[in-house]
Amino acid sequence: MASLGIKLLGVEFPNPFILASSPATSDSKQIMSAFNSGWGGAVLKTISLVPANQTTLKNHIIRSGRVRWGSVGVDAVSDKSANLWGEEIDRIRNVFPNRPIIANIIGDNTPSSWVELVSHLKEFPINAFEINAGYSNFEDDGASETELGQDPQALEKVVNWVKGATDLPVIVKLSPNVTDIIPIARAAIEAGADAFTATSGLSGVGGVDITSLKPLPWGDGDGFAGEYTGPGLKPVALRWTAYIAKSLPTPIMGSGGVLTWQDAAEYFAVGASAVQLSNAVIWQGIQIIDDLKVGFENYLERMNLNSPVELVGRALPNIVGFDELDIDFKYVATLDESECIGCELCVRVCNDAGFQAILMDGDIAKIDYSKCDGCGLCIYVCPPDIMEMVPRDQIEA
Amino acid sequence: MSTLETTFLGINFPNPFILAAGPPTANGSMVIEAFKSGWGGAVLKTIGMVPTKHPSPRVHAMRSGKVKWGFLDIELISDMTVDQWAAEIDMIRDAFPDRPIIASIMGEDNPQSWQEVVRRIEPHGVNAFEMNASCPNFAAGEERGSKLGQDPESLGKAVSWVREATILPVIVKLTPNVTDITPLAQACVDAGADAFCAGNSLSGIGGIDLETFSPLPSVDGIGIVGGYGGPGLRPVMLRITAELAQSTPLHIFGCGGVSKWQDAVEYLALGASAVQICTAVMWEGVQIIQKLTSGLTKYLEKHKYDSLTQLQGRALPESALKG
Repeated sequence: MASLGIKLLGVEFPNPFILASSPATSDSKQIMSAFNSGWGGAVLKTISLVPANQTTLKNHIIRSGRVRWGSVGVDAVSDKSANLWGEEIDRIRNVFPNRPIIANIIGDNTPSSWVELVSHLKEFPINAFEINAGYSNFEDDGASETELGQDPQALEKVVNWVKGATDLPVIVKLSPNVTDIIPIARAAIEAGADAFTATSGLSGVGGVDITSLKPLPWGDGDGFAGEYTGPGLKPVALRWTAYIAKSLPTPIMGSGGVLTWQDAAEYFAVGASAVQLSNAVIWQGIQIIDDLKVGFENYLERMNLNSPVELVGRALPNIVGFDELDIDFKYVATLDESECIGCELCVRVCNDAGFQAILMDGDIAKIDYSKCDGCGLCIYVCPPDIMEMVPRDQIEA
Repeated sequence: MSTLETTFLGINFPNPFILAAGPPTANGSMVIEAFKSGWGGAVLKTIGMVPTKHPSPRVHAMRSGKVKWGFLDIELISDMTVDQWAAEIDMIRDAFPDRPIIASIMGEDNPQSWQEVVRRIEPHGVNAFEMNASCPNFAAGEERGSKLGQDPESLGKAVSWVREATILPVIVKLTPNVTDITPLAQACVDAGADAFCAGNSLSGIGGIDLETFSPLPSVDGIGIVGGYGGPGLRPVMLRITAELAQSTPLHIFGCGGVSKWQDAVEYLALGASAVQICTAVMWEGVQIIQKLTSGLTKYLEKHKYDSLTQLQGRALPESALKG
């Protein structure tokens, strides 16, 4: 029987599904109700010595039809002071003596902004700190848009300050908005970072209101970029997770677009030891933890894995360089003709963006294997999902 | 009556919807079919002195339920030679003497590799060159692809080589896989570039097959980090378009996740002069051009814009508006 429990940074998590620092962790009530539902831990909404004074969150959800796949938000700091958060932490601890609580923190370019904050919060029963390196107002000159996690020297300084002020584990939540994440991660490790969260949001514009021509979610002409999270971030955060896991031994919490247990399993397979979620909860409610746990547990059992730990990094050997691919290994598209609905969509896209290898034979699509180049496009446009790629030699045999 | 016609870089586009370099522009006949459907122009699949072969399969769609929001490809540049492309361009020109054709080109870290392609393609009647300094899929250590586009000095050098070889407009297709786009953009401006395409795909992992642990698409059980495009790329490219519009005077082709006319309005409002489209054509076919042009025409009429230029940059802060 697979168990979902993990031990990370010396901390026992009942399961690897952790609430990310977000509007879903903005007070003790939310967190306790999530812990009641069975969440594995929580990262508190970003705490600063200078709390946000506005409580209205600017946020824009990006959809295709009714399906949400992205969220762009523009403020990340809690409106509660560090003092208030101390009381909130005590409240959670009274009810949940052992559930992991991680304090996400942000300061500026002065040591005191970090050291004072850490010194205050460490007096309360938290398990670790998480430095919010995706936050973009580190340089306090009002002009710079640089994120802490884009500047290895600045990050190294900050990690040093924080490590100097606490014996608790220090996690760095990295920015995905970099040319190369490895030098940044190395700088953090040099300064003593114990783990990474990969990653915070992409820098993005949610859209433009085409009637008012205001950028979303800003709307007021002050700026246009925000933090882009949700499924759309996942391909990038998976890539950075894999890069870090391949190069460095430091544990990683995957974060970005985890909505299902399958998303979580993907992060584990590329090297994460836990996952953090926020949009899943904001969009669907805390009860999704049941589906996540049951689905993940069943999956581990089906794969004969005793624990999530055995899944960590399993896909890494299969992520190779382009020159290691067998360029002569060819697949072809096939379809179950008895299920073809005659919509001609595969015919159209193969004609316009492929190899003109699919033609209608009466009401049924037929693949011309002499022309199919095995690109794989048609299988993703077929409405009844009845097309499949198979190795060419199987067809020819 | 509003018109979708737009002229910039000395090129007259019948509408601002241009096929991006990619599988839909893989040969002359496909471009001719697209032009017949009404596309405003086409960027040919990237031409280089060393054509490449393609892995199979080479695409994977990221979906939530039945809805696709991302597309990952692991393909490189055209598998046709420069001389084959010269003949294909002649064929397109015979059928469409005036429709804008942009040749996407890629070289290496030396002038000859870029200039030889330019020298051999230019006489065949293309309207501009687009430098692909940003394909993320080349093997580590290769001097082609995105490595070139991530270093301002190398990029500036490459732009100056192409600039020196042609009097046609030079467009640079930028990579979003950078900490800061502005020094790269400035290097292009300094080296004489005329426009940007913003831009190429994000480096990403499209997904993992949870039974075999192969990244997707899986080439006989293994895979690579690929190029992530489609709708999910749009927020990043809208941001980069706005940053370029605010920091440089060059024209911008917005490119990333345009599948509806509304997406094009967003790019134009953040400073683009036209848009390039690839994934939407791969998912739906070239006929989407009809909905794109009719939707945009009606929008301009409803909002009483006579032309696209009146819309351009309107969502940027006042101080950033050009002219």
